Amino acid sequence: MEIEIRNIHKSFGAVHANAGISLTVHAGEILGVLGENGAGKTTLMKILAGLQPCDAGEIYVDGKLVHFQSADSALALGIGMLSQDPLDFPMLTIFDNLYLGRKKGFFIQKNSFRKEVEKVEDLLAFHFKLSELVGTLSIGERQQLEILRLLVYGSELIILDEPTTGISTQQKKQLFDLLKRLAELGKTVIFVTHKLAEVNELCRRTIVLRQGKLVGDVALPCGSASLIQAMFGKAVDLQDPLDVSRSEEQFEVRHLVIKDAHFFSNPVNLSVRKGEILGLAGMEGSGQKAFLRTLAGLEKPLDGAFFDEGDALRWGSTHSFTKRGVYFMPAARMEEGLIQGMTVQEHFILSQPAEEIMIDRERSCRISETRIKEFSIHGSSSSNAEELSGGNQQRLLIAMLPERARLLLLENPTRGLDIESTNWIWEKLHERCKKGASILFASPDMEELLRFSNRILVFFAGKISEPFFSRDLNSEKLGALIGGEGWR
Amino acid sequence: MAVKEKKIGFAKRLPSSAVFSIASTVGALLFTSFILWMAGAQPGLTFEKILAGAFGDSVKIANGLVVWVPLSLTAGALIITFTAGLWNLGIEGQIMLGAIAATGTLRVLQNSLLSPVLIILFACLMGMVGGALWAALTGILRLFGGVSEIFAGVGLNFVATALSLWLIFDPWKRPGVGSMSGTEPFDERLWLATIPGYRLSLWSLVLVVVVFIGLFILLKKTRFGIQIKAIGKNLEAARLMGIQTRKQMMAAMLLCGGLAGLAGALQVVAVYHRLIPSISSGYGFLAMLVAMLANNNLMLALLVAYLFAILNIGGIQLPIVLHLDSTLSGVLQTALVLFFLIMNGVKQHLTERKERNRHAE
Amino acid sequence: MQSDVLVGLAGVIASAAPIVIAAIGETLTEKSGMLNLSVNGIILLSAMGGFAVSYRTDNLAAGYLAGILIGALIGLILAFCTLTLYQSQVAVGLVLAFLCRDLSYFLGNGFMGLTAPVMHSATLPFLSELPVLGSLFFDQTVMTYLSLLCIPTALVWINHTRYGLVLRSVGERPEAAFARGIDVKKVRYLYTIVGSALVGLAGPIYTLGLKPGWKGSMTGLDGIGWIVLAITIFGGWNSFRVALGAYLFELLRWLGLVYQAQWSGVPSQVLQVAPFPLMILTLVFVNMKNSEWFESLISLLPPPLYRFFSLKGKRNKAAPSSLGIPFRNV
Repeated sequence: MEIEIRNIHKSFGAVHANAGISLTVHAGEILGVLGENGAGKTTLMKILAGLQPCDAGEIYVDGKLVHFQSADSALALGIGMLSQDPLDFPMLTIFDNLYLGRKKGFFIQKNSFRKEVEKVEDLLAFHFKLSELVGTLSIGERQQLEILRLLVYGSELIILDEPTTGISTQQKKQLFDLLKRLAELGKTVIFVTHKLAEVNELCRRTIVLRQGKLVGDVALPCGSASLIQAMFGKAVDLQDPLDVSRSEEQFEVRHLVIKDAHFFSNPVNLSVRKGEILGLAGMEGSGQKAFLRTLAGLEKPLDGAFFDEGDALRWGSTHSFTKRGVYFMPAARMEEGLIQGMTVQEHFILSQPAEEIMIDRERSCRISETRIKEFSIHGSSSSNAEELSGGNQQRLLIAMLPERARLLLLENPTRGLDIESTNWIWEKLHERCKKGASILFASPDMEELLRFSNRILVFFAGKISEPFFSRDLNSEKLGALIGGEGWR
Repeated sequence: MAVKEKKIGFAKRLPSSAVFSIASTVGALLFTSFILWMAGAQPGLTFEKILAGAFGDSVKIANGLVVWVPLSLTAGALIITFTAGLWNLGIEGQIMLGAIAATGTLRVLQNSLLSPVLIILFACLMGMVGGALWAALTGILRLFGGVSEIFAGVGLNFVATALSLWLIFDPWKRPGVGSMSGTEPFDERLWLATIPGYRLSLWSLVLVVVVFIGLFILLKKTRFGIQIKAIGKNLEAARLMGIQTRKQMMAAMLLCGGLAGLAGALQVVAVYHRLIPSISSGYGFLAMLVAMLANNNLMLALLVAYLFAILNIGGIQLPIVLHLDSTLSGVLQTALVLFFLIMNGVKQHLTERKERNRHAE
Repeated sequence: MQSDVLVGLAGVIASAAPIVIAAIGETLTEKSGMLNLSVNGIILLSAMGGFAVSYRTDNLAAGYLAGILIGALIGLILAFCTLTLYQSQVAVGLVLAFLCRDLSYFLGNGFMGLTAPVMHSATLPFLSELPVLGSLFFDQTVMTYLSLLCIPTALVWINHTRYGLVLRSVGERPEAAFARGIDVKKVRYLYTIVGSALVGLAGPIYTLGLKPGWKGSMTGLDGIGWIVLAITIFGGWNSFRVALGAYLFELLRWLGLVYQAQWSGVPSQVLQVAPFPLMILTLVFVNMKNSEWFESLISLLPPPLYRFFSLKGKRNKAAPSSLGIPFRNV
C-alpha cells in the first residue's frame, strides 16, 4: 500500500503543530520519523490514523483521496496505529480485546475467530493465551497484542508511536525483529521515535520533523551529527550555570528506590548543594515524575531516606515536607496544578504557607498583585485560572511557589513557553538559587537541561544514572544517554 | 496565528443568566401544571391556594418562618460539604440524631436544679455533638472504609429512623403505652420562648442569622474554607498543593453534622417539645435541593430556603381545600431543581458553541 | 413443617423477583459507565403508575407496560441531562429520585386503597410436580419466571454476545472504545433507557402482585431502590451474583419475620430497617476485599479458601472503570 499525504496543517490554539507537511510512504518500507518532543510527530501520525481530524490537507491511499472519521474507518482502509499508551482494555480478556471491532454476528464466535487469530499469530511467530486479562501483560506484550490486532483486521500500514518507551532491551529486539518480518511480508511500517540509534538500526529512510515542519528526508544509515543538526536546528550553545562547588550540601538522598506504575528504580544516592540546579533528563514516563513526587512527600518510596541538613523527612504527610520548604509543581497544568473555577488570588492564598486560621485578604491581595506584576501574568487577581492562556497558567504555577522554598521540585517548568519567556522564568529561578534554594527539574528539552543545570540525572526506563556534570555533556552525548546508549 | 477581532452579531450574543433562571422557573411551573392537570386539578386555583395557605394570615406567615429555620440551617450545613465535594445524603439522620441527643439531654436534666436557659443551651450543644458524631460515621466509612458517602448516608438515615422509633416505643415511651405521637412533652419551662400566639421563636431566627454570618466567615475568610473549596473542585490538585485532604474533608463532615444536629435540637426545644418519629420532616433532603438550586451560595440559600418553606406551608392545606396530596410542593421544588440543571446544561452548551465558532473564525 | 419451609422459600424467590429485575437493569446501565441513582424514585413512580393504569384499564398487562414506559422515560431524562447536557450524573440522579418519589405520592393520592387486577401464580404443568424444585420454582407468577429468566439472559448477553462486548468496552475505557468505532454516547443512552425500563418493571410487580394496592407512603417501598443499588455493587456487576445478593437479602428478611415473634419487645419498624446497616457493612466488606492489606491478610489462608476470597485477576467483580465519569467525543 502506498500512502501520500499533501500539505497537512493542524493547530492547537496558537501552536501550529503541523505546518504543511507532505510525504509519500511506499509499500514494504520501514520509515523512521525523527524529531524532539513537541516537533509534531504524534499529531501527524494521529491524523494519518484517523484519531484526529486535520485543519487542512489531503491523504491518498493508493492514489485515492480518503477521509477518516475515526480510527475505525482508517483501519477499514488498512491503516492502523499503535499509540504511545496502547488504546486497549486492561480489564478485558485478550480474546475480547481482539474481538472488539468486529462488525457482524450476534454471539461471539469463539472458535472461528480463534482460528483467524492463530493464523496471524503463526505468521508472527508468537502466541498469546487468549483467556488472560490484557492488564496482566507487560507493556511490550501489549504492543505485540496491538500489532496482532491491527493485522487481524487487515492493516497494511502500521504506525508505531515511540514504541520503545518503557520496554526492556530484549523486548525491543523482539519488536524490531517483528517489524522487519512485517516489512518482508509487504506491510508498511512507520516508526516514530526521538532515538537516533533506533532509526539507524531499523530503517532505510527517515524523515525529520522540527517545529511542525518537515526539515529532512534522509537515506540511512548515515552519521548522527547530520541527523542531530536536522533535529535541533543549530548546535546548542552553552552557558555557564551558577558555580556551586563551594556552597554547602543541604539535601541528601540515600539509597532511594522509587516505584512507578511499571517499574522500580535502582537505588539512588545524591546530595544537593545550596543554589544547585539538577536537571532530570529522559523520555516522559521514564521515572522522573515518580522521583520528584517521592521527594515532595506525595508518594512513598520502596526504600531509602531523604535528609534535610541531617534530619530525616518522614513520608506520610506532605505537611512535614512543606514545613521544611520542600515544594512541588506538577506538569499537568489544569489537571493537577491549578484548580478550575478558582481565582488567581485564591491560588496564591492556597499555596502560601501560613498557620493562621483567617485569611489576611489585604496581604494576600498585595502578594497576588505583586506576583502578577513580577511574573507578568496577563490577567487580574480575580480572573479564574482556566481563563488564562497556557503560558500565563505556567507563569502562575511558578509564581505560586512560596518565597521561603528551599527545595523546588519542578515538573517541566517551562512547558508551552517560547524561548524568551523560558529565559525569563529561568532568571527568576536563578534568583531563588542565589538566595540558597536548590532546584530539581524535569524537562523533555535537552537544550534547557544543558543550559540551566549544574548536574544532570538521566532516566531511562526506570534506570537512574549517576549525576553527570552538564559541562561534561553536550547534546549529542545527552541525546544518546536519553535513548539508552552510552550507559555504563 | 493572529486572532482577528470580529464583531459578534446580536443574534450570536448569549442571553444573560437571568433569562435562564426565568426559563427554568417557567419550565418547572409548566411541568407542575401538567402534573396538576393529570391529577384533575386546576393549576391556577391550586397555586392560588398555595399562596393563600402561605400568606393568608400572620400565623401562616410565622409558620413559614418556623419551617425556614431548620431548612436554612441545614442548607447552610450542606453547603460546607458540597463545597468539599461530598454528597452528604446522611443529613436526615444527622438532624434526627441531633434531636435524639437533645431529647436525651433534656430528659436527664429536666428534674435538675439548673436554670432552664442552661438546660436548653446544653441540649442544643449535645444536639450538635450528636449530629456531628453521626456525620463522623459517614465520614469514616467514606474516607477509611471506601464506601460512597451517598450509600453510607442513606443507610444511616434509615438506622436513625429506627433508633428514634425504638426510643419512642421502648425506653422513652409515654407512661402507659408508646405511640406514634412521640414521647411525653417536656415541661413548659424547658420550651424555647416563642412570640405569644405563634409557634415562632425569635431566638431561632437570631440563631440562623448568627450561623450564616459564621458560615460566611468560615467559607470565605478562613484558610479552611478556601482549602475545602479546592478539595471539592479538584481533589488531586489540592493534594499536590500539600493540603491535608482527608483531615479537611472529615472536618467538613463534622461541621455539617453539627449544624444539622443543631437544627434537630431546635425542632425539639422550640417546635415539638418532644421527640416524634420523623422529626427531621424531610428537611434534610429538601435542604439538599435548596443548596443545589442556590448553587452553594449562602445568601441565595436563605432566599431559596424561604421559598421552599412557603411552598411547604402553602401545601399543607391542599388535602383539605382541594383534596390534593401535600407532596405537590415537593413536586414543584424538585422540578425547580431539575429545570435549573437542564437550563444550566443548555447555557453551557450555548457558551461552548459560541467559543467554537469564535475559534473557527 | 417441611412444607412450611418450602412455602417460605418459594415466597423468598417470589419477593426477590422485583429486586432481581431492577438490580440486573441497574447492572446493565452501570456496565456502560452510567450511574443511575434515581432507582428508588423510579420503583415508587412505576409502582404507582402501573397500579393506576391497571386500575383504569382493568388490564394487568397495561399496568406492567406502564411501569416499563415510566422507567424508560426517566432513563431518557437522565441520559439527556448527563450525556447531552453534561450535567453531573449524581446531581441529576438524586433530583430525579426525589422528583419521582414526590410525584408518586402526589399522583397516587387518588388511587389509595383501591383494588386493581392482581397477578396470580401460573403453575407450570409437569414441572411443578417435581419434588421440592416444583413447589420452589414452578408454582410462581409470570414475573417471577421472568426474573429467573433475566439472570442467564443478562449473563449471556453481557459475556457472550458481540453487543455485550461493546457494552463492556464502553464502561471500561470509552476513549479506546471510541477509537474502535463505537458510538459511546449512543450505547450509553441505550443502556440507560433499557436498564431504567427494567427498574420500572419492578414497581408494578409489587403493587400488582406481591403487595397489591397503592397505599401512599405506607406502601413500604421507599428505600428499596437504595438496596437495589447496593446489591448491584455487592454482586460485582455480574448478574448471577447480583441475583444471589437479592435472594440472600430476601432470605434474611424472611428469617427476620419468622423470628420476630421472639423479639416481641422490638417494634416492627426497627426490624424493617435492619437491611440498611447490613447494606453498609456489605459495602465495607466488598471494598475491603479490594484493598491491598486484605489481600495480604488472606494470603495466609490455605489455598482453596484464599482463592474463594481473593479478587486478584477476577475481572467480573470490579466496577466498570469509567463508572460515573463523563466522556466527550473529540
